[in-house]
Amino acid sequence: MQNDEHEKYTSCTKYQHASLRGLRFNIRQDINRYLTKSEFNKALGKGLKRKLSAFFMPEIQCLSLYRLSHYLYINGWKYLAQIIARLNQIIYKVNITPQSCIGPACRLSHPPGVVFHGSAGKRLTLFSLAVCYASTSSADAKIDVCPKLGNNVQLGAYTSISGPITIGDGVKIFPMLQTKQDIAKNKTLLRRKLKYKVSSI
Amino acid sequence: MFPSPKISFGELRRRLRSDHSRLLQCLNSQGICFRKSAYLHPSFHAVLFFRLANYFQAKGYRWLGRIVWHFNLLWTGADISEHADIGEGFVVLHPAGVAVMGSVGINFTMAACSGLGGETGRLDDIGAGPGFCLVGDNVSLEPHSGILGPVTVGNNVKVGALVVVTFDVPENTHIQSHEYRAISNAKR
Repeated sequence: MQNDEHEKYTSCTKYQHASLRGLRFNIRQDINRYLTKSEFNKALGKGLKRKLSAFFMPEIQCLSLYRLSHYLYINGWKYLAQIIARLNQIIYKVNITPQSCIGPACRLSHPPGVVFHGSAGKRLTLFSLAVCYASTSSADAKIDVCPKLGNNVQLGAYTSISGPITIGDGVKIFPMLQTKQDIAKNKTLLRRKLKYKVSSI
Repeated sequence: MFPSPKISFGELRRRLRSDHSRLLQCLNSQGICFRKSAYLHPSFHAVLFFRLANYFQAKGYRWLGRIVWHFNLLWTGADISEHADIGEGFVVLHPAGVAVMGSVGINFTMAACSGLGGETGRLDDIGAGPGFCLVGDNVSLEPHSGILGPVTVGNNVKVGALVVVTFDVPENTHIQSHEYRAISNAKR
């Protein structure tokens, strides 16, 4: 039973994740998305030098390691995939499980502390310390009980989403928010007004 | 309690076995595949290095405890102080960004980027060290939550995501964070 479940979840057919061509395509898309946002890299001009410079940035490195681990995982190299994911965790302190499925053109602005266990569409944006996971009672859950994110989803800094929820396309979650409920597409989640107590020292 | 009590090597092994079996329980509940061991899992590494650092410092080898604590920080990203007193069944689900100092009971669960510690300006000692918290059994912290300052938290408490507890919490309590409001993207 466990093996059947395992085979079911290794058959990821989205975004050509099972082929080397798809792996290259996804990494290239990540780099292109990074380059459109990076003023520093624009100064390097166009061409290979600029792309190489972007490739060695930590956010692209950890995304590449995740993509490699996912590629290995869905091609049956489960233990090697786990090793690559551990390496990612040790070097960049990013916990993206190999069974997670993330579409092309993902952006991780500040990698350390980010946790992702679920599935997401194209152009996912994860800001610093964003957390997406199943629940506190299970660390290595099936993708069914993890959040499913649509395309163009943006998780702000310190956000936390958990449980078997679906988040529609184009959803933006503002910083310091948590949700355990489904969210319809094209919504923005705002925090209610904070009340600070200000007094003189 | 503070300072953390001296434990024997047998007790250390017993606690580590308990931590490992509880981590396995967490990994295998709704897990994608059945695991027989989690000795190579980073969650176990974080707890293992904490236990070793705590054992060494309680025995009087403070430099060794400090080195193991530092190695834990480099290897897993978890800043679990060697002076913390944590009971058996300790599980850190995602070690990077976790910070712990205080006194905690058994079956303590931490998720990503959560923490226990002191708060600026409150240095009362309630038994867990100056300014640190006393936490009961079966407490779990969700991501980005924290328990700060000299406060007492009872047994069976669940602290929701993004909640910072700076007050005493009674037993059997679930604390949840603020609500959000959802607006359409077109209105922004």
